[in-house]
Amino acid sequence: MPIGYILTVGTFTGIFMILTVSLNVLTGYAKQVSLGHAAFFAIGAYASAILTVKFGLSFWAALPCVVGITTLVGVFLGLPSLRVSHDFLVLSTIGLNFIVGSVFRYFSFFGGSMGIVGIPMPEFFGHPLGTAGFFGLTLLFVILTILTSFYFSRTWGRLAMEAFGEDEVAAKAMGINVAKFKIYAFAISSAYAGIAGALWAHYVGSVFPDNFGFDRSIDILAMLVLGGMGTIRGAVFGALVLQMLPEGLRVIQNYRMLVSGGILALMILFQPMGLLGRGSFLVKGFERLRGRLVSHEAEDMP
Amino acid sequence: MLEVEGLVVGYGKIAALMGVDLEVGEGELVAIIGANGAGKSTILAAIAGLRPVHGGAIRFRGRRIEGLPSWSRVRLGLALVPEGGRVFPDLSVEKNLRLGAFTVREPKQHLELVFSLFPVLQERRRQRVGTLSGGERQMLAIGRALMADPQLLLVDEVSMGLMPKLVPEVLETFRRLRDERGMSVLLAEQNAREALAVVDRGYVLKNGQVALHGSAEELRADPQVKQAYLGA
Ligand SMILES: Nc1ncnc2c1ncn2[C@@H]1O[C@H](COP(=O)(O)OP(=O)(O)OP(=O)(O)O)[C@@H](O)[C@H]1O
Ligand SMILES: [Mg+2]
Repeated sequence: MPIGYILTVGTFTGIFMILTVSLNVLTGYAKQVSLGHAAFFAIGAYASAILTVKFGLSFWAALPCVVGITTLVGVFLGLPSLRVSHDFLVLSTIGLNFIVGSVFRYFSFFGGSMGIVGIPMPEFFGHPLGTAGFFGLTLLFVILTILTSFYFSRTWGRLAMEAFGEDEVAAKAMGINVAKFKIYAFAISSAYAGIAGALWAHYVGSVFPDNFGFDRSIDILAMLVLGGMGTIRGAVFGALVLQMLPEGLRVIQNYRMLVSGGILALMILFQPMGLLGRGSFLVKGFERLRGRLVSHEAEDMP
Repeated sequence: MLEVEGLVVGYGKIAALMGVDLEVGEGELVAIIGANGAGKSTILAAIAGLRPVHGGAIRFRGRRIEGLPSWSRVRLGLALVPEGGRVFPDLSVEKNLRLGAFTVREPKQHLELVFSLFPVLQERRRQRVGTLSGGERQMLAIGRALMADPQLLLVDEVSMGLMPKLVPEVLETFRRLRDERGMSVLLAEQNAREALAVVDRGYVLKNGQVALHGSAEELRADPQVKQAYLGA
């Protein structure tokens, strides 16, 4: 297998890991089910494309702006979640895919259906990154995403999100400012997705509205649900499996939507906690195994 | 401590409360009794900020609070034990309690207070709440509200799901909280007999209005109350 191919697969897998970890904050912790995550991904990609191609910024100068823009967009698009119930939120996030797609398609500022092309590779000390360099860059962002997200998972914010995700009335009765933390969840999630979008745009070199459709949102949610909602390891693992699997099994590529949709439906029916989520059969099995090993050791002691 | 004046609350076009007046003094134990659907839970939800108020005023420690969001009312010293407890079944007892202290900086001493009131919670502190008995969950719900260090505790139907033998015992803890910490407690109870045995005063709620109010003694002696709520 050529090394370039492996690096490319690795880069896309990394980008999707950032997306699933980002969705985990919103859907795993705060239980705000989003079928529109590709919209945040798209906004990050387009923001970076426009800032670099039309305004001549470098990738590095554009990146903080991209994070700022996607954070604000997250806040703004999170506002409806304060008013609607869970079921309607799912519907409105589906709508988000189409609204964002249409805006990019019908406004010439965003390149219309011709998209934006000629997005430059990020430069490093004056040299454009190659395939290997970009893979390294992606890996760096994956690690940063996991570390910051892990830090967040140990804060009160995550606990507050899990509380209202479970029971909004109880959370309010305990003095949790539910509205604030819901908006935080959207903002954090959107910011991460924006970074993933920027990486994607600069690696591929062009963005088109069709790159970020509803099917992408399904892919991302399927990855998270497969791995295990509410855990970072699950998010990372789900992206790894669903992004690598089609590479090994070419035939799957033609049925991507079917595979993602099918996995989503089956997991929700039979293993809603995912493969590596809390209390999944794999995790339970592992804990039992470890328990047995530990107790064996204990028995062996004189 | 708490004054409710002309409180009007509705669900859509249906009015659930039609001008309720009610008061809880400093260190007072007060019960709201009434049949199913009388509006007891609605009053507590409105005081806690979980239901928007359509008319009237709610004053807490001299301050109008009916427009404040629920989270800031908790910070002012109001805590609610919701109907059915609404504890988090997937979390441990201790995590549930710590979540109750979301608004408090130093939860340690409150944790000790809760464990001294309900020693069974200390024994089971690492246990997943889903595996607790109904009674233990109810104690946890009360404990969780106490973690917010309230001055006024609103309790919705503690007797529900409790073994009859345990009801007076749990109600007795409210007396202890009042005697030892000067806390005020407002209970909504269907179990009028048990409630009127421990509180200082009571309100009888009927179709969203206060039909009668007075000291516990007066209410216990009232022929109407006897007939309708005490089953005598
Ligand atoms: N979410 C809701 N939507 C519509 N109507 C409601 C809602 N909650 C309560 N009601 C109505 O408001 C009235 C008062 O209800 P509330 O729950 O306050 O009664 P309650 O006295 O607490 O009764 P219970 O003893 O059964 O708990 C009832 O007629 C009820 O049907
Ligand atoms: Mg009720």
